[in-house]
Order: sequence, then structure tokens, then C-alpha cells
Amino acid sequence: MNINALNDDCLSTIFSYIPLKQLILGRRVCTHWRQTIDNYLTNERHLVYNQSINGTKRDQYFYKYKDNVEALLDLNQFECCVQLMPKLTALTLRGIKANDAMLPIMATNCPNITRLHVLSGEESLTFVGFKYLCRKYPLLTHLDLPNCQLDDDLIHIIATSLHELTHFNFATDRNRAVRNYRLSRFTGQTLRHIAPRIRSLMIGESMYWDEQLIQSLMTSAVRHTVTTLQIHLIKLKSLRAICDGMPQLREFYCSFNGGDINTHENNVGCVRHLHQLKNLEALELIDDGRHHCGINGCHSVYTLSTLMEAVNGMSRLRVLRLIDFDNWHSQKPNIDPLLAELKRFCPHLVEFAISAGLFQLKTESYGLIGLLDVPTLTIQGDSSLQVADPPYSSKHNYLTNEVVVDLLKATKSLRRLKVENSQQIDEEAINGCLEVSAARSRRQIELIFCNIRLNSVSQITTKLPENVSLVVNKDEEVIDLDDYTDGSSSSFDTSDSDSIHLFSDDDDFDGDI
Amino acid sequence: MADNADHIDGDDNEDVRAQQNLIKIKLKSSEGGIYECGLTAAKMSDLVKNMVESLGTDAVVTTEPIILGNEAVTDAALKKIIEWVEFHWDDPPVDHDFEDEKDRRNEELSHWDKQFIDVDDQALLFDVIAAANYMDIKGLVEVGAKHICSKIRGKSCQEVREMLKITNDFTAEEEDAIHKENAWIYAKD
Repeated sequence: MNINALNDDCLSTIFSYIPLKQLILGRRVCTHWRQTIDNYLTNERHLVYNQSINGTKRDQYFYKYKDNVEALLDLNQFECCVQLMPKLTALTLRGIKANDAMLPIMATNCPNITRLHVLSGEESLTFVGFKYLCRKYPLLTHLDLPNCQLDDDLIHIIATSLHELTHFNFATDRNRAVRNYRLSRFTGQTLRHIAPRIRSLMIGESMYWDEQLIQSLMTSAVRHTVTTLQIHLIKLKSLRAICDGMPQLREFYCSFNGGDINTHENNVGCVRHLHQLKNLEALELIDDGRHHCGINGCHSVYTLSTLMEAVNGMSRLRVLRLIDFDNWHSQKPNIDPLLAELKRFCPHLVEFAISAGLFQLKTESYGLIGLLDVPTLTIQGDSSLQVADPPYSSKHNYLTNEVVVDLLKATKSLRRLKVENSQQIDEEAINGCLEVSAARSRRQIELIFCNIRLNSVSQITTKLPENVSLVVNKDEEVIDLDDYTDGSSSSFDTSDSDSIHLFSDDDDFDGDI
Repeated sequence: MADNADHIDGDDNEDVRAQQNLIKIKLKSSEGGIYECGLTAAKMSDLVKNMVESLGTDAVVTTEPIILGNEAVTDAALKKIIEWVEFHWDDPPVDHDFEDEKDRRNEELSHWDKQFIDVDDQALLFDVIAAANYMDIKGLVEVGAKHICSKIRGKSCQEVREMLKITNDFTAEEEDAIHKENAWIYAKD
């Protein structure tokens, strides 16, 4: 049988795996392909417009900083592309900066879009653009605008004109935003108008104190309907307001400054109010220490008793992330009782993330984490331990190469392991993990090591197994593993370099036609 | 996020599946060849699954062969397909929390799958894909699609034609026209 003897369904299935750019080039292969590809594109509902299709040159600079630097949108490329897909209902811009000029092109060619995801928002659409968007697409149901400079007026416009909106995300994406990025003209006061259909609401980080935001949220129609909420709080006291006011939440992603943890007031106890959220399936708590932690260290915003009370009864919990950001804690609760509790009461847990910067994690603690056997596991080291001075001396650091490998051994169902911020971890852990993963050839495993003490990639001596993808990232600079594959003794096979993800791009093809 | 708070206990389920795979059923190709296959493995084909379930009891299916009439289901293709399902029947169930559509699409083929699908005989390869499509074995169609995609990746149209034995049936004018239509996409290379 020849490929063209396959029925159209089957051929379309094959085409659906081919990156868009190459697919368009493939129109030239023969009449049957052109017809099938055009037909496939005409009926395509979802477009991810990325740097490859935009024609962005990928120079060395982009390789290194791709995640932080968004390319400019090429309007001509964009127009040619969306013209082929009149039935689009969902458009995602990835690694590309949106701009106002793209909106008329979108509106002319793809009137049916109901989901718009602009995944890189800083300095993109303007006030005029948003107004145009709201007018042309009143039926939008999903709007993702992380890091977009939304202000109170825009929220008001979006809230009052997009009545079908169910998912609204203008959260701060820390991985992409510049450091200390905050919305300067967003106080939260217009959130009260937001359409009651919203189920998923992700709110950006405001420059102002929480009070207005919380008050507005609590008087809004969505207070009882939102099931997914992301929010940044300055005071722990606000956490209490949310837990008391929105017990229906299923997913709660919260970061807090702990602005009310100081010598004058201490609202650590507010964490225990989380136990009101009995329906929680996903809980993320990011302790953002930029405010409450000084150089001399401070108390943790958690105590064991508040945390135990918080998690108590969350039997549906699937995802639990207790992570930190710039913390400097001198006194931390021991985590072990919580781990035992999770093992007993949260049978559905599939993802767990924990920071040694927030809790005391000893060798036994890592053993208990292994018993949880969760497919997605993130371990953050304690960044304060990187200083040699007491009381942060490294004898308190129990995260070692051996512990990491043991953790992987114990976690039989592992799919993704991420180890961050530990200067005690080096090539030895990577080699060990690769060996353990190789023995599980039937399972795809993703290993990510960020900000570790890596001397040289050439010391990764274990061959990268077929089922493993490995990302190594040191001091925010992605190490280009490809550099080490040419002519060196390293065992990386260049033909396999695809499985070493240096940056995420699902469509990396250099056309040569 | 998943709504199925009470999902099935993995271990128990695996046991049942292993037991069921000891039951052998017969599959008949369009060329008349009859081949044995474990029941659980065979049920990876939605077509076979529906047929077996419509027959009611498992006892019936062990005697009479299930006829796969589509011409793509040659003896050679059916043997390949049985090899694939017998290797994959105990795959961990797809967890939708992790394998969202995009991730799964980007995932590399496993070593075993790569070797399995990399056959020299192209006619057989497309028979297998067409037969898997007919038998509704999504995982195998995906393996075939990814394999072809990896073969095509980075190749020029002429190379694609040569590799897949496709005749260029465009007139010179038509090809020119497409070249112009496509101009935007390689203008920037």
C-alpha cells in the first residue's frame, strides 16, 4: 500500500502530527496532499502560533533567552496563516508578543474564536486593543493574558462586555515576568462586576494592599461560582477571608508575602483556615519571602499545627505544592507528620512539590516522600543554605545526590522529577537518576535539574535512555547540551538531541524547501 | 482537572486484565490467515472490543475467529498488529491529568515502538497503519503517524516524494502557483 491509498481520515491523522510550517510546505508534494492538507487546515479549530511559524530568526540569543524574550509578531505571516484556518475557535500565541494590529486580521479571518491565549503579555495589547477585542468577540469564553498590564478600567470593560467568559487569567507568571513585576494600576475594585459564569479566575499581582481586592471579590457574583482561583496576597489575614468566603474552591493557587508576619502582628494562624476548602483537588501555596524575610532570616509562615489542620480532611487532594520564592527562614517546622498524614488521607495525590526552604526536611523526610509515590515530584533545596555562615551551615542540608537517587528509586510511578536550588546536587545525581530511569524503559520520564552545582555536562557519563528527557539548567542559564555532543567523548547521540529539551517549543523545524 | 475522584484501584484492575489475557481468541485476516491473540490485548482494538462485547460471554469468542474483512488487514499486517498489542496490553492506563493532548503528541516514541514500526517494507507499514485505523487501535495509528512525521521532518518536497513513492502530478504552472501561495512561509528562511 502507498501512503496515498490511506483513507482521508488516516492521512489527516498523520498530518495532524506534522508541524504546521512543514505541513504548509507539504502542499506542494502532490494534488492529493494539497487537497487533504487544505481540507485539514480549513477544519482546524486550534492554532498555536509560535516563533517557528512566525519566521523568527533563532539566533544564539534566542536560544538562550527564548523564554524571556518574546518575538515581534510578523503581521504578514500571521495573516497568511489565519487565512488558511477560517474555522478557528482557539488561538494561542506562544513566545510572540501580541499587538493591537493583529486584532482586525483575526476578526476578519476567524470570527469564531472563543478562546484566546496570549502567553506572553508584557507590553502587548493596549487599552484600545482590548476594547476592540471585547467588541468583536463578545462570545469569548476563555481569555488568558498572563503578565498583561490590565488595570481597573480594563477589568471593568472585560467584566461588563464578555458575558460568556468562564476562564479569565491575567495572573503574574513568575517564570516569564521581569523580577518584581506588579500591576501598577490594578487595585481589584472593579472585579466585583465580573461575569458570574466565570469558573476559573487567575488574578495578577497588584501593587496595592489586599483589602480592596478581597472586598471586591467577596461582593462579586462569582464569589460562589469560581472553582479555580489564583491570587497573590500580601497579608495572610486575606487568606482567611477567601477560605471562609469561597468554600466551593476546587483549585487554589495562592502566593503570599506574609506582610503581616512581623513583630507587631502575627497572623500565622490564618493558614489553618484552609481546612474550610473541603473540595480542594489542587492546592499551591507559594511563600514569597521578598517582603517578610530579611537577610537575618525570619520565622516561617507555617507552623506544623496550622498546616496539619489546613490539610486535614482534604481527601480529594490530587496536587499539593508547598514552594517558596526568595525565602530566608531560620526556624522551620518539621514536615514529617504532614507527610504521614498525606499518605493516610490523600490517596489521590498525583503531584507533590515541597521546599526545604520552608520546612525541615531530613533524610527520613525524603524517605516518607518516596512512600507517597507521586508521578510528579518537585523538590526545592533551601537557598539560604548556600551561604557558608552559621546558622545556615550545610550540615542542615539533607538533600544529597544519594537522597535524590533514592527518591527516584522509591517513586515507582514517577513521570516528572524536578530538583531545584541545591548546591549539593551535581552530576552524580543526574547519572544515578538516568540509570534508575533506564530500567523503567516502558515509562516516559522527565528529569529537570535547575540551579544545581553542575561542573560540566561532559561529566554526565550515563547515556541518555530512550525514555528519558533531561533538562539541566544552571543559574538561570540553560546549558546547551548540544554543544557537548560534537566530537566529544560524551555519550549523547546527536540524533537523540530532540529528547534533551533545552527550551520548550513544540514546533521546531527549519524548512529547507 | 479530573472529576473522577473515585477511580479504579490500579492493582486489582491489572490482575483482571492479566487473567483475561490468558484467554486466547482468534483473529482472521482478509487473506484468510487465522492468528491467536490474548483477549485483553485484542481489546485494544475498539473494533474487536465492540465485537467481543456484542457477543456477550467470553466463552463464545474463543471458538469462532473474528473476521477482519478490510483489505489492509493482510496476514503480515495482522501479525504485526498482534505483536504490538501483545506488547502494549499492560501499558499503564493513560492518565489524563498528565497526558494532556499536547504532551502526548510531542512525546517521543519509545525505543521498542521505534524498532517495531521502522520496517523496510513500506507497503507493509501503510498496511499496518490502515489496518490499525480500521481496527480502531488509536495508540498504534499514533505510532505510525509519529514515525512518518519523523521521516518527513526536515525533508524537501522532492525528498518526501522519493521516500514515499509519490508521483508529482502538478503541472509546472500549478506548482508555480503553490510556490507563490506558500511564499510567505519560506520568505523568512
